[in-house]
Amino acid sequence: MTCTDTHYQLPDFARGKIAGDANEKIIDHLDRCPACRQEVEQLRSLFVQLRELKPIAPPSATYWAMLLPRVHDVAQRRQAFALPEWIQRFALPVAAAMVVAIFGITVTPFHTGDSFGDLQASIQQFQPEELQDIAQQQTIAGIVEPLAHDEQTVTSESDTEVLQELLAVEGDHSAVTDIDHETLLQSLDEQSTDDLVLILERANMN
Amino acid sequence: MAPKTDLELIEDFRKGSTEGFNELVRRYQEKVYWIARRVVGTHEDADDVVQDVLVRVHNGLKDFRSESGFYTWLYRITVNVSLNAVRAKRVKDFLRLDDVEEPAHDEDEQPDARILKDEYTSALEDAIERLPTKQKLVFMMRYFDEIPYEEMAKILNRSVGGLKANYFHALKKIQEYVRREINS
Repeated sequence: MTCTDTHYQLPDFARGKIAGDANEKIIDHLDRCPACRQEVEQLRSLFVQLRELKPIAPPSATYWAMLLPRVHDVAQRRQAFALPEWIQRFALPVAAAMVVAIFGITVTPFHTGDSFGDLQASIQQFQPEELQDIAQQQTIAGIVEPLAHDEQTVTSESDTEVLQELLAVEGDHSAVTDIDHETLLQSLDEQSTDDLVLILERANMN
Repeated sequence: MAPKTDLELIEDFRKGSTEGFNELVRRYQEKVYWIARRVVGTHEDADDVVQDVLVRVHNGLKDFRSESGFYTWLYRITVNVSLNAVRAKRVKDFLRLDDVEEPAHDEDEQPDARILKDEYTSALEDAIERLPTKQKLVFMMRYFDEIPYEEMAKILNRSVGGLKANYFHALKKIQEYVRREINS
């Protein structure tokens, strides 16, 4: 067993969550590897400190007693105001088509200007690991999904992949051949581009 | 008599018994609350998430397909609603206060109590609060709820290997942050 095989198992090992053969293999490795042994010691010390965290005060019994009636009340109100199923099914695609049609007629092709620069600058501040985290945020995917479907050159299977490809602009964005970023960004309205920049900036502050 | 399974309760609800839904809520309400509370930070925000999640479950239960298991489905909804709440809160905070983002604190907590808090515990809490949202979620699911990686993979739609890496890096970030704060 190598350090690479062992590394990500060390938190569970340090908490005694690994049993049997897997546990034995880690112990064997630790006997031979001072660096991983030190890692385990540090993790154990962190877990001891984490146990000192003060528990958050739970809600009162009254809160739980009131919860169910409230949920029933809100659920009934939402159902009462819900549109019939066939409208729900077709309203969104029809609305989206109308927006695209209006957008295509009214928006000039060079409206994104500075926003593209902002977006690139925001993107370049991220490490690959952070990009993956951001890519998996549903909110980002929500912005990128329509973008992916509008752009014919994008044929990726999932929102995550689309975003990861879109965000793969560290340094030289022209290196990504199957996505034309400028065309892609021009298909966003200013608000959506600003939203994307905003979210990336906020994610970067984490 | 043995308690009914989740699927039996869902079946009861589909046949028109409100009690089926009520029992499911009683069974899982606290778990939903604590997931939300740990992700969004305050009781008020967690309460909004809990209500929204349970209403969605109520209105979506007839379309629920049992292959993933009710708890996995419920957990996934809770995670998604919680993450949306965090995002909405960030946008709101950003519009209101465009320079510094304060970590969420319990509003019931007195300022004096916060000052007196043990420096170490305080640094730990800050470190957890500052983790990227998805990483915080992975840390909380694994550390506090001790959810098996395979179950987490189904809920978050990620690989087991990726989750283990994420958990490890979350712990390292916490460790580094605390070390920096204590030494500064």
